[in-house]
Amino acid sequence: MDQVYVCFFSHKLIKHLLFSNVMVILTKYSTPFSHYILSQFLSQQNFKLLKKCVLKQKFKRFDSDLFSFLQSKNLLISKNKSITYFCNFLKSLEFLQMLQSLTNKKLNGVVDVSAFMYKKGDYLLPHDDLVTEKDKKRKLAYIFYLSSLRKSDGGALDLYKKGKIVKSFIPKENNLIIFSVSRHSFHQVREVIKNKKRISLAGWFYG
Amino acid sequence: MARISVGQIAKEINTKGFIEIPNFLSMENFASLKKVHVSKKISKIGSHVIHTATHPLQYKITNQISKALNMSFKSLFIICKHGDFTLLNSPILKPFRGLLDLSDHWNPHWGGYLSFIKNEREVLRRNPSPNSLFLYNIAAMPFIKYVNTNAKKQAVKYLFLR
Repeated sequence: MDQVYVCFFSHKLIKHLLFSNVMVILTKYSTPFSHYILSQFLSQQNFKLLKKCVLKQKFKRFDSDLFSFLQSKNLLISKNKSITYFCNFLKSLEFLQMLQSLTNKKLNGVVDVSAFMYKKGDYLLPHDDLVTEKDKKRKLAYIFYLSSLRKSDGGALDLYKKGKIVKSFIPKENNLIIFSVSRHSFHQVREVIKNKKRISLAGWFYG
Repeated sequence: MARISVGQIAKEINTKGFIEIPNFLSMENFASLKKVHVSKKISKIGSHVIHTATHPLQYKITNQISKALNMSFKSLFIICKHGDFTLLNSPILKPFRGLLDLSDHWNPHWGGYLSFIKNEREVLRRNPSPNSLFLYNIAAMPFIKYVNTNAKKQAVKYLFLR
């Protein structure tokens, strides 16, 4: 653990966005590459509501050489109130400014939001999030966990350094993980090996 | 070895981009060759994880295929167990133009299939099929799909030909 921050969000924003937590604990880690964890991000009530709404979305299976998982449509166009609040919070000036000051990354306010579901046998192999030319504008990646898993279930987020896994995060609901995207940000989602669902909201902040 | 004329093979590859010849080896040779044991794991982060192997019959069979098809082949065993895969950017499959499939019964949902991608779209998927010879000449990038946990201890076994 490198640094711990206590983030205060304005009452107006919290009220408007249905978040009841005014204060959020943020932990910054710098190895193997910069990443940040915001624990117990939403109030339990709002978390449950958001999860319920996300699970009502339609998920479509996607397969490539790199991954196998189910993904929702772009949730920025969702008409669901709870999902819209979450998306608006990610796009809010207050949150973007906090991320910029923490990460020294210049963000342009563009954010992706999709829901992902990994079932038994699903995975995302090691990559750096800069696969194609258009990915170069990705500055920060984020994952907001909507389900918790055990280590033996698989589904951990592994961070690499020089081809070796040096850090793993077992999905824990209501935790938000953010990490810097660069040629060094090699990571993977370990295959889910039990009959469990790994559900998250994830995407990128662009700059 | 299955009987099919070289002309027929060439014609099919020219029109479809590939040919699949089932029941290629005699049962005796197939039974022997599929008993190949994994010898080495090759792993390159962000590219591929595969196992390779050798078998005493490998070179004899490769020579027989070369003679039968009037082409000169070299071969490499590539075995994919749970957790193995190749990615599109991996150079490992690039030289090959065919394979002899030595897998046992296989469920495509376990992964392990050969997929060909062109312009970010899959143009051909070849599921494992025991004892078949698959020859191809496709302007697309191939990869072997990650073998997932549902395969348990089973593996796909390909004798790749180039």
